[in-house]
Amino acid sequence: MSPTTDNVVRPRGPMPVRTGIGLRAQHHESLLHERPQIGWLEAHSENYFADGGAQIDYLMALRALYPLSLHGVGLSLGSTDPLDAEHLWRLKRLMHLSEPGFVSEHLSWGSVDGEWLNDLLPMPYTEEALAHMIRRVGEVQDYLGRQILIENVSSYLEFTSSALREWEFLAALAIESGCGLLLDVNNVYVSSRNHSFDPRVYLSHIPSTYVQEIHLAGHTVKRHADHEIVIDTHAAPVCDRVWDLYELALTHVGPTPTLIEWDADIPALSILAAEAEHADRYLERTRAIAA
Amino acid sequence: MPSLHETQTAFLGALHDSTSCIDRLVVENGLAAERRVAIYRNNVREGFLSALRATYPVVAQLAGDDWFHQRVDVYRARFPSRSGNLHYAGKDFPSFLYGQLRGGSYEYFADVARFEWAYQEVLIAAEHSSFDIAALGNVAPEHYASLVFATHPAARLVASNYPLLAIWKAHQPLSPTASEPLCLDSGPSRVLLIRRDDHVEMRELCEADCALLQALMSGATLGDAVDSALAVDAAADVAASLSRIVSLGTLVAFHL
Repeated sequence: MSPTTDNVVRPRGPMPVRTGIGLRAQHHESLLHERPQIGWLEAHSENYFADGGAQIDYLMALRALYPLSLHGVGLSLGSTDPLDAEHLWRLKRLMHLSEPGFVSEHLSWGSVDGEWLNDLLPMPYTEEALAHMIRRVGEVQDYLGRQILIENVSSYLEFTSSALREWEFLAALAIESGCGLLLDVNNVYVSSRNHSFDPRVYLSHIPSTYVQEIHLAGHTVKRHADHEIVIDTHAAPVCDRVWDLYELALTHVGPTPTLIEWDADIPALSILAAEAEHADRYLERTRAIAA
Repeated sequence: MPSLHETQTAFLGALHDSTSCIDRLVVENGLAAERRVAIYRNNVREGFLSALRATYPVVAQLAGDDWFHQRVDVYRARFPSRSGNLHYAGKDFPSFLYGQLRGGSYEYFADVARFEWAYQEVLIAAEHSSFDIAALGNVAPEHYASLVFATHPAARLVASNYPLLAIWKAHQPLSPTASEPLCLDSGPSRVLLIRRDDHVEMRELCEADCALLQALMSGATLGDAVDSALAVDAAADVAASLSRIVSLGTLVAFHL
């Protein structure tokens, strides 16, 4: 791939309605040298919480070439523990430094009474949990001085206490807190298989005007003698069923900045760029139909 | 109906103890609650393990997967993550390994772990502009002994009875495979790790330089630091020691 600076250098501004890729340290060098024509980059915020050093320098060098989004995995918004002030401070510092187009987090929890599991654990969809999430998202948005996007996670269990469906919970959270939504189409698919619901129903209930970003990723199906479960591994290409669901999501929410996530068994940059290009074709088709 | 906090506490209990029953909290839908929780148990374990493997790649190589995984499991039970940022999860691993290995033939794993943690700290520490040595000219000689220095945020000193730098270098991805066998009793090492221009430089220091720098890093006055250096090497040329540690860029500011 030849450097085509004219096409990739962009001013800092709104995120392009194109497809980006998740930024991983092993691609720092090749991104700088190959400058593939991907739409944008999404960094895991915590990977760049350092006070200084090479990782920050790479991020800023890449920031000069591509629009950027910051995606957090460690705020534990759904936990009843207080928000971690240092974590928020580091996020705000990184936000001021890198001027991301989006700042996002998850509809999940990851800590209880000071013990952290560092995983995206599912919420019970109760009125209490909804009020809690609305408050927490509000606290974070007030502290950062900007809107954040909240992403639906893949889950492997549901709580009997849930009074709302996940899509109802997300819709109410967005409307009440003013956050945007990061619709992870693969997570909708994974959870729909694990919890036997129709993913199309899920999509149709998401308030389309709140969706500002879409995630696509690969998953892994684990088959047991009596059951199968789909695990959100981010270790494979996007499957056909998820592409179909993506197409449906785009007809519902319109052309939306999209991200290819691939976080384990990470392939060469060219493979990621090809996945992004594939998603770009869906975006173009949706734009053509809308026009 | 359980509160949010009760639900999360019960979930944590079930993650730790597979006999802790949360059946009533979880929708079965064809798969028992325990098997659903087991997926998360595995994810949490794998996430923690891969964070520790990333922080301690040399210890992991030295110890082998089975040993490393076993010890990390015990470590996680005693020192669970206390942050939403998994990069901090390995902070107590060196002291945990000392507790496990002190006095035994694998004690050096703990020293290697200490070295690798220092390396991680140096990688992410703040930048600092270099020290204006000329400013020291304004200090009257009678005040030299009470000078206190600020040391570079991205500098760490690791001393050990084992040849740490040789061990570390032999286990880097690009190191030659057929190197000479390492001799663990080839004598102590004192290594300075300092970041310059995104590159971590590693230097072996002599006993006196190490004692002087260690004392200054811990906030001792120059007078006390000189005493520390002379205590380990009575014949040391401490002026030369000071000049060497200044030229290595370890000191960034001073005050009286």
